[in-house]
Amino acid sequence: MKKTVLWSAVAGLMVAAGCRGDVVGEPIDFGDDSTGMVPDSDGESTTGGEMADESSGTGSDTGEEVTACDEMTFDNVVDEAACPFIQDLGVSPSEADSVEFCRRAYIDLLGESPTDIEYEADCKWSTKDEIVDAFMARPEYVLVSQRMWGDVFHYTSAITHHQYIADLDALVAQLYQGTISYGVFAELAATHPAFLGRWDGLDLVGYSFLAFLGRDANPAERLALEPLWHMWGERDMPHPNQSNARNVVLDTRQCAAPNEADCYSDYWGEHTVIIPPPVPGDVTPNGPNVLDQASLTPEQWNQLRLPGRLIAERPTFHEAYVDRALRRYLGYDAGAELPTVRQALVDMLDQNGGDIREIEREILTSILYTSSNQFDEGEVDNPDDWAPPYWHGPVKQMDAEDWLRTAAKLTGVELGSCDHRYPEVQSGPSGLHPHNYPTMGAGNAPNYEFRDKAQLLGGCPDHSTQFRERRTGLIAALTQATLTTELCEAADLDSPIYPLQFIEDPMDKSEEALTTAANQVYSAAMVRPIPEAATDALMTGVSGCRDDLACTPADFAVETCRLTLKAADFLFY
Amino acid sequence: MSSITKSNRRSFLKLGLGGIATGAIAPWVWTPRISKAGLGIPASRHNHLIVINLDGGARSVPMFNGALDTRWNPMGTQPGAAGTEWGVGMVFDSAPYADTQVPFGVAMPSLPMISNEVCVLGTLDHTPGAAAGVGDHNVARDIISAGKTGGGPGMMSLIYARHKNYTEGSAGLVFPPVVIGSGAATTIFGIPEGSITPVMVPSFSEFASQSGDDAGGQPEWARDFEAGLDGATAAIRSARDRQLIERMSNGKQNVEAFRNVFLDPALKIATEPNAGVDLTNAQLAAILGTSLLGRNMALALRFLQYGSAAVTVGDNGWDTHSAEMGAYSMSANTLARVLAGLNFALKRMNHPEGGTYWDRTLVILQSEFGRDNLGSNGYNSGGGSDHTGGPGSRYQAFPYMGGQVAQGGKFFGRTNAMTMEPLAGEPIYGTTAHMAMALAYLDITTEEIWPGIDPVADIF
Repeated sequence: MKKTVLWSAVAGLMVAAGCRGDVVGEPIDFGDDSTGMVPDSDGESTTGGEMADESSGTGSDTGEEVTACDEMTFDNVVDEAACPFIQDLGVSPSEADSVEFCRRAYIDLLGESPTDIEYEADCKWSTKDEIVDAFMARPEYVLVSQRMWGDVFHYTSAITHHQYIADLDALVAQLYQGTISYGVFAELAATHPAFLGRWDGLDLVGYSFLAFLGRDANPAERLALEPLWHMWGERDMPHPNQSNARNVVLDTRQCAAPNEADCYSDYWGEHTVIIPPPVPGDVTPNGPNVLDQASLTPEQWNQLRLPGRLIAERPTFHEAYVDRALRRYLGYDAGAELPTVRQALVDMLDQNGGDIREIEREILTSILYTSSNQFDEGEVDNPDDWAPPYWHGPVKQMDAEDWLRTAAKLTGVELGSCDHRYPEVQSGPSGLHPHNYPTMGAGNAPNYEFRDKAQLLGGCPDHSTQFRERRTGLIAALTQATLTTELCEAADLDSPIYPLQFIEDPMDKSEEALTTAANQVYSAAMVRPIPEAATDALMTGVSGCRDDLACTPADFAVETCRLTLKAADFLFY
Repeated sequence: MSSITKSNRRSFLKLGLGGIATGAIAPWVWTPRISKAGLGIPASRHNHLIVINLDGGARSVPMFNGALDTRWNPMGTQPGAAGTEWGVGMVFDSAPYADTQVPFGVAMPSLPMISNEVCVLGTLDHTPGAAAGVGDHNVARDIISAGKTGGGPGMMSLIYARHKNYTEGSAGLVFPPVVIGSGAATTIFGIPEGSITPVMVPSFSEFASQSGDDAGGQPEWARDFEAGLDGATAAIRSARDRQLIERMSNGKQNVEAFRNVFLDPALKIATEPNAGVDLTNAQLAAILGTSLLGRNMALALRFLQYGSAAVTVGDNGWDTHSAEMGAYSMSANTLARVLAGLNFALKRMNHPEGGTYWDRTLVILQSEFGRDNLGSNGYNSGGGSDHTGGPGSRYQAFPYMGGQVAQGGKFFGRTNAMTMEPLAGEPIYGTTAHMAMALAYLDITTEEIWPGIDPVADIF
């Protein structure tokens, strides 16, 4: 078993909890007037595990203190590993209701928020486990995962051959379809031509670390491991659909005698990665000793893929994947916050032969993911005193592409999507290379409207000067205000959120009419009416419109559409 | 001269900086440590700061510390203007810029022609006294954005949370600090401090699209409705998640507060050539060029005119591990034009406190590190350069420019021509001390942020 580096921290936390006497029935004080999410005093079963029997308190045989977790049975390793930090501390997270969970899983796994019709069809009658299984079986789940790895590998055909990118992207699809293991994926990816064509020299080491070990390589590691990738290079090789294409080549001259040491590394054991020159002595830059990667034999590839195999053997290889998956679905660094959870998932990944789908499912069906993100915590000024994020369900900001795609879907605006593989489609004498953008005009010309709008909010990055961001602040708010103006004004009768369909009488500015319209617009986006807690806000808007001579019921509905699509409730899920 | 009054302060905070109101005014009294070095800095709340961040790790030595062996500077040097001590890189074009001839009747001087108005520090080091320098992007980014290993709120957020114009208000125009650029080493200058986050603009062209035609216009009742809705959402979330939501809410409030700014055609840098105060956008294009950096800098100057205390403008393309020769020359000359252009433009922009913006602005550079792993020809085996933390990447050479930079042409922190190690007796400047100088110039006390760090003052 590979122990995580933070294992010792668990002991520290456990000691700290023990010192505080945090056992069942003694709720943690996490705010001035906190009232919610404290343990069930009646011993009712809690999310994430079931009480094994009715007893609690001290064990009858040994006299040792019996904790809440001792009393529970688990069918999820995350729940079991997290229990000492949640239920044992007297916290009992409430379960997310069907709508909250459906939106969360829909956005995370399918890349957009559901409409009310989609909610009915895909979530309303299913359990959480069934929802997760169904969504993980859909191609959108694979696509969202491919997008994530596209960010990791910095796909762009402005630098790399488009066919290499398509091939590596297909490999990612296999990983999330469960047809290859994570270890095999890493072995292939670390020397995949899409990877080798994207970076050179010491960066090949650095980006391998970032992709698979969760951190950048330090300068010493870069220098010490670069020999394992030393022979790789590129040569201009225009493609009919990509004039700037460069082929990845193996330059066997690099480590020909007497330069064998340039391909030798003793950093992770003693290893040499050398393919002898087919024509010894020939030093022609593009001569017979420079081999196109497509011409390499399986035996040669087996040797050349050593760096990926070595990476997959590192103790932090599985840990880095687990940390990434936890961050992806929970939005915080749960691997560091809950080292026992990380370790449990690392053990699972060790034992299941690198099946990452099982890891993802375990997280998605765990208490950490299925709990409600509503949490009653009073004003606490010092961040050190804040309740930990795992005492409630996750709150995450929608990715720009997911937000825009959903907003466009709700308003019936056809924006398409961007192609995560090719931020900018390249061309050659025979036209553009293949892509998944909507097309316009004659031929295959991509329509970049969605990409350009998403980039304003940090989505559809070009992977060269821009990288994915979740932006907040003034300019993000300004951008959303601008985009929602366009979208809500463009909505037509067929769109789910079409504001004007909710106005029965264009002259009726009664409180009832406006309230009904607002609730219907909001429900179209959020699958439920405006929450009771926001009734005052709603009435402020209704009264404001009624008092404003310039405000018509139609204006009210359109403005409600805009403010709903950029409301915190919609954007943070 | 503007005056600060209680009513000014109230009206300023009412203008949408609620985050500042709650986040920046510390509820305790703190007595600053008096820094001798800081005393030499012409600090004023009416000063401005322009930071150009060279994203990726720029090879600054051939530009600003050029009098070295070929390994470190394969392009050689040129004399520069009379009185210049620092090694002016041959990589810079020396000819003046003819683009300004028609609009201004004079060709704008090139950077080598005004090198005696530029002071250079040749030994900027992230970790003074440490055994090795920093060669890791992430470690370096933490330091150049937050001034400390491990990172934290970015430099523009630090300014936003502490600058008197934001914490006390001002009778003049006030606009938040701005980060312009999308590079990974640039956006970190805006890492929030609590709910306080500066204005983050990807580029001049994207900003125009983000503003649209209406700059986020919304009826008052709709704003109230939305604020109430967001408030209800925040109220049922944890303190941690509330902060996230409040950051967004602050942004929404500021959209309205600064809507008049966003509606100003002068901010449409490329599409409104005749707009602008003191200098039109067409004139700024002639001065700064139409490169992405030039256009973004033009937008930055507009934000300064609207009262921004500080702007960071990122410039991409400096992480040249291979094929550096052509790319480097282009990057260096784009940068040189913008530096020369700032010298030219700021002197023609009237400051509301009197004089010109040149009199009250400090221009500095930042970058993750320099470059090393070089052969005798000045490049690595791929025709580029790396960053391993050796002296070549460790000791960066940065220019400083502005009306109050009294040491124009001077060079502090000389290095050995063969080894790039600092010469005996030469000062080594900490990156954090250089950042402290920038904040001190804005009249921000830095001891609280970086205890024990004396701001650099040699350039004044």
